[in-house]
Amino acid sequence: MASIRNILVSTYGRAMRKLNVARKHLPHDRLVLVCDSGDADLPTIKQNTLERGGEFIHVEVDPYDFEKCLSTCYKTLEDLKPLTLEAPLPGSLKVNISCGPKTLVGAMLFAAMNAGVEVYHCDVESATGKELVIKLPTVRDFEIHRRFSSDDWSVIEGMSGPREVRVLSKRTGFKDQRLERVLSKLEREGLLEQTMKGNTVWAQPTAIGRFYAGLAPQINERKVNSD
Amino acid sequence: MVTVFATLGYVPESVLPSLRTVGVERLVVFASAEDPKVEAAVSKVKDHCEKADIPFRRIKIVKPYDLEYVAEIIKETMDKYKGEQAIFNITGGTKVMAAAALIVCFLKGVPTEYAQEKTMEVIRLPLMKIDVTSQLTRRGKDIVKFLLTQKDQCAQTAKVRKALGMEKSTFSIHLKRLKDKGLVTVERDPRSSRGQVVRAIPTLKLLVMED
Repeated sequence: MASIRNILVSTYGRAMRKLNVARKHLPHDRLVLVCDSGDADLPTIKQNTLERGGEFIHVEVDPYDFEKCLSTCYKTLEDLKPLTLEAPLPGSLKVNISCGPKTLVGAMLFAAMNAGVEVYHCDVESATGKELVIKLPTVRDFEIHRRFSSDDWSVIEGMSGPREVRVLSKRTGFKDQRLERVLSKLEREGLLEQTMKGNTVWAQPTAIGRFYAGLAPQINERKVNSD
Repeated sequence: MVTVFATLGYVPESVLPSLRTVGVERLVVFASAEDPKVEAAVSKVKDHCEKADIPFRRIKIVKPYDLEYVAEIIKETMDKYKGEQAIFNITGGTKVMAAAALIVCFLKGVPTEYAQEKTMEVIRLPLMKIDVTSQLTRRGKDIVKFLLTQKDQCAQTAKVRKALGMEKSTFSIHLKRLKDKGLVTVERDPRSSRGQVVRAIPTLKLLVMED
């Protein structure tokens, strides 16, 4: 199999015209569509991509289930990143977010910003018919694993569900002040909420917190390897 | 009390579910200018707000397909309500408007919600925060602030360094960090054979939120 250099990942949902603008302006050898499996356009898009000599992959997702969209989008991007690096020449990984419901678009945008991947919005201006390729701001070096310290990740790792702060302290071995500092930071970042039940303080992860908790093992592994 | 912000297109119903939130203080909608269908939607939402006694404000979006422009308008408007509890409904308007709103909300840490087209059931998206400013060093922030005051957000590297009173080596390190993060580019100065110019990316002002 020829190596894949340029990959285009796109959200989708009955918007062939917009997708075609992305396909035309963002060169790619592989098209990865993230959408509902019931989309009637999928066979046509697949056939068209194969006829052009490209590869086609469909990643199934319920576009209205934000939490699943987010983890699927992030995993897809992280899995694809190394492929563009393995090619004989450096390739590119680009994301188009012009199609599909805004829940899926929001999840893909957030996942791409966290993964440090370029994001585009390709559209057709309704009044003029002009094709638009808009590059959204990309920030490198702000990927998830760089945004949180080892202390933060130690706490995040065990946050798949509500936890008593006392139990977190025991598990991480952090003293009160250290744990409080981490929990306050994670609360500011929107990863968890602290609540009182009786005399007990609980840390309840938000949807984003659960998303990060799911990534913690692979982030920790990456941190260990890069140290 | 909550200020509800919303992008609005042709469907007035897309905004209404957010007004059922308890304690809505006001509604601020961002809607394209000079589109009769949008104007009709704005009128309906305005009427609804008057009946419900909710203060209504409309911000005209002259260039609904210009992401930077839309994001700047949204950011400037939201800054006026700084310190108040806010929620952003991203259902209506062009996708560019929604993408701009999402980016501003990521940077500001404002929660967003979306009303599903068919059922108008509200899906609340969790708080997704990306704080670029806090990841910059103090020196990095100084360079950014300086560039934002310059014409075309661009200046000779020597001029920036001297204005900020930095040693050459210190300046180089901080400039490289900003370059690695993709926030600035460094090019050869067309007016000098040896000099360089540093240029902020067009969205730098948007990404680097003021405290």
